[in-house]
Amino acid sequence: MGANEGKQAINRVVVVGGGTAGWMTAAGLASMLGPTGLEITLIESEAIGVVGVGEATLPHIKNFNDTIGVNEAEFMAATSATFKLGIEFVNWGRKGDSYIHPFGEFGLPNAGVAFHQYWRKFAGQPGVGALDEYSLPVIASRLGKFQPPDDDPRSVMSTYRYAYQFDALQYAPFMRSHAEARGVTRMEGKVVDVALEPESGRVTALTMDDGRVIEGDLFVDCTGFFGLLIEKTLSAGYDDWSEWLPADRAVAVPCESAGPLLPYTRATAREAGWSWRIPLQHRTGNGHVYSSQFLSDDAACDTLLGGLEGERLADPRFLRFVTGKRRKLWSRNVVAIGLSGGFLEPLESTSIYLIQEGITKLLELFPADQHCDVEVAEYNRWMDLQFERVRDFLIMHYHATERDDSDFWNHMRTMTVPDSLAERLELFTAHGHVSAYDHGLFLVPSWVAVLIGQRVLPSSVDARVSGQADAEVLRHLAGLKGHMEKAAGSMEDHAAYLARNNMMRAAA
Amino acid sequence: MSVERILVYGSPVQVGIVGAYLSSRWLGPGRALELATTVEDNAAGPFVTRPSVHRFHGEMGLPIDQLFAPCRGSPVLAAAAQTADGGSVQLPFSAFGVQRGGVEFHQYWLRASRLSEQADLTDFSLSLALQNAAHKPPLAQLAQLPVEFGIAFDRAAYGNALLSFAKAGGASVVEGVNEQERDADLAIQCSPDASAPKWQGQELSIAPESDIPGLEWHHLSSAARRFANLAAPLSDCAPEQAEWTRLAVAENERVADMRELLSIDDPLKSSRPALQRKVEVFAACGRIPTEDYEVFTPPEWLAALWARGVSPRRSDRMAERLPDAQLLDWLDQLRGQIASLTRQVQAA
Repeated sequence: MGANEGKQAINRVVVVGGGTAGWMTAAGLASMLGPTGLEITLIESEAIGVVGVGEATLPHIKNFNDTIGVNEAEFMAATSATFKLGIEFVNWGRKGDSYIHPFGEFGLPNAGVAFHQYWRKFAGQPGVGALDEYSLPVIASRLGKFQPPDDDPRSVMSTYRYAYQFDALQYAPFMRSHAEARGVTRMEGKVVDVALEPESGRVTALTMDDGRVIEGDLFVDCTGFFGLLIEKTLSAGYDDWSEWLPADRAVAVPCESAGPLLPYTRATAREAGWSWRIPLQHRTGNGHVYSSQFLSDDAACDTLLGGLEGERLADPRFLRFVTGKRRKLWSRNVVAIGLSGGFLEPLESTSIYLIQEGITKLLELFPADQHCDVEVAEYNRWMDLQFERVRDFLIMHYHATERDDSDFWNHMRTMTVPDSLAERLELFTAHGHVSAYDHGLFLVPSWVAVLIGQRVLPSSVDARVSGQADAEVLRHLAGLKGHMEKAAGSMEDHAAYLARNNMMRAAA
Repeated sequence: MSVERILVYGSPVQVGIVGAYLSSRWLGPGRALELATTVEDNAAGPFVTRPSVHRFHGEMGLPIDQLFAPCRGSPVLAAAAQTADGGSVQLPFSAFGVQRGGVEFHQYWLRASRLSEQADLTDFSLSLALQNAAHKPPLAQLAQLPVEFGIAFDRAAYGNALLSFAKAGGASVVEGVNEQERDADLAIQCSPDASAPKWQGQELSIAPESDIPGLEWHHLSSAARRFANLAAPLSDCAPEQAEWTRLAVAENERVADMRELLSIDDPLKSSRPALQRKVEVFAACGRIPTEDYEVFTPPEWLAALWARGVSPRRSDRMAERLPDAQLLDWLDQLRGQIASLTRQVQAA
């Protein structure tokens, strides 16, 4: 290989596949690197459907939207979006249980002791209530209220963040218009052939079904589960995590909205998986994720349709997947972003977060030329860590349960979990301490929310709690709860907030 | 009611740091804290703390400004460390220049250096400018500036002040320690005799290192905070012991990375994986990958890498969004602002 060939500059990026991952990637690259002369082409075919991954998101998406210059009101209206303050988990610890994993804190720490430690000591006493009654976003969620958080760290209104629930089939076109306005070229058609450089094995060009040849220096595979470049062409390999997360099917169907517009997603545990309910402005998104080892497609579909809150708006669509990730999300000059890179069930709305993380890291490490093994290795290390830490958090939802009413739950409850998760559970169950890390999506309040929400209560509490007088702590708990209820009560109705701020989609 | 008894032993300043924190954040009904000064503080020079000293003291309820004058405090904006070639490098606690559009300043500086000759990267550090100025600004003025800073105290005065604070908080202070006293529910050894930090059974060894200014304080304060945050009955704390040790060892690994970077002849030949990654990624694109439980901040890593002759082959492409002329003007302005701010502070 000649020196020039080996150091070929990267000035042309080809994104293969539209949909959420493809258009987010194109918009991100165009916004951040378009002004540097980077040419970005996106190939998609209207004949190929999109999965429409992730209608529910995490607060990080606001950073992404802000960074690339998306106007929030326009975005909300264009994607029929609603605000999201957390996720309600129903029937997870036991049938009949409900808790909300909020995008925010629980109570306030006192003298260095986390709030949940005080709550734990008095849990079950009259008037103390559930832990999530001390979380402002939870109280607001249950009241159907919304207000953007306050910047003043002294205010209780600063103790939460928010995300969005949107129509993924409207989000991709919205991102497309954003990307095209910043210079992205869209090409309609299917890729029928992939040309590789013989010596390096790098992708050099794609041939379209109409004979056009699209050359590029760097390729982003957003072709979904198919993995046209990363797997079908480069055989990057796949780490299968179904040992811990055995759900391998999903069936989805939208229905008409019913009831008030709630600012949270609901995840209800079922016989062999769980179902989602995502309230949008114009409809409700529903789906059922399940393990085909334990439940038939027909039974899963019946469960989903039987639980719809409004009239069905389309036929159910089935998806098959294997939970896991590519062994190398970046291989040679192909980066896999979205479902082509891996799949973790959307229990905690992490799909779009992982897309966003892939784009951000690609931007940070964007190579100058093909001599970029170091950047590739660092990208893969970082993304592996992100995937693995989300994986552990998801496993915990299934494992930390008392449910014994089906073969599926018996299997999940008794299975061996990764050591990293086992040690974390052991630490928490001892005295309520949570092992924290610096690099990972889910922070201490999230672990506390799910563990306590699913009845994993520490056998004892932080030794320092006993230093406080009981009456004083109980008075503090009551005061805090009242303060939060008052603050939540003063927020605006969620739907009214959307309407007042011109965030409602115009009727077709 | 049985009483849990912790014995902390080591030099006065070591015992003072751990003891003061535990007296404030651990001591309470059913607990006793005994502080034994078993060795003298022989180290020369001031005792340097890192910027997290403000939070540490805030949590204890002993604000820095109360100690500053009595302990002959002086602000520290960068730590000076020795390098393999016998030289030294200043590791600033705050960023070089100003981040812009999500891209760190040094990426712009790298690009500007390709366009025209630029002042050294270190000339764009307000921390270094203030650290090297003849007079340090007063605390109140520093708090208004965009810099992080620790404090260098007189070792003996700081140790005594902390021991007094601990005593006022209910700890008992003794000189020396006998075998009976060592038989506490937990003995915390603060001196650097142990080879690695470990909490096992009735012994907790902090094993503080002191070869980089601020490190000894960091190890001691961080060990105390971590212990208090993992508070559990001392007779039933196996998971907490494992967690404390895991975190302390992980931090020590990051310190060992920095030590090797400063001391190895050729940083590109390090066999430590995390350091190797830092060196390689920085050399490739100017980014500095971080791990969990880092002790040193990105500006400190940047200064160390730079001082050891590791320089990026290219700048971040996102830094190219700024037009050339605008970039050069911006750098000029920044340098002027740093110089002007430093002069103002000196004149005040």
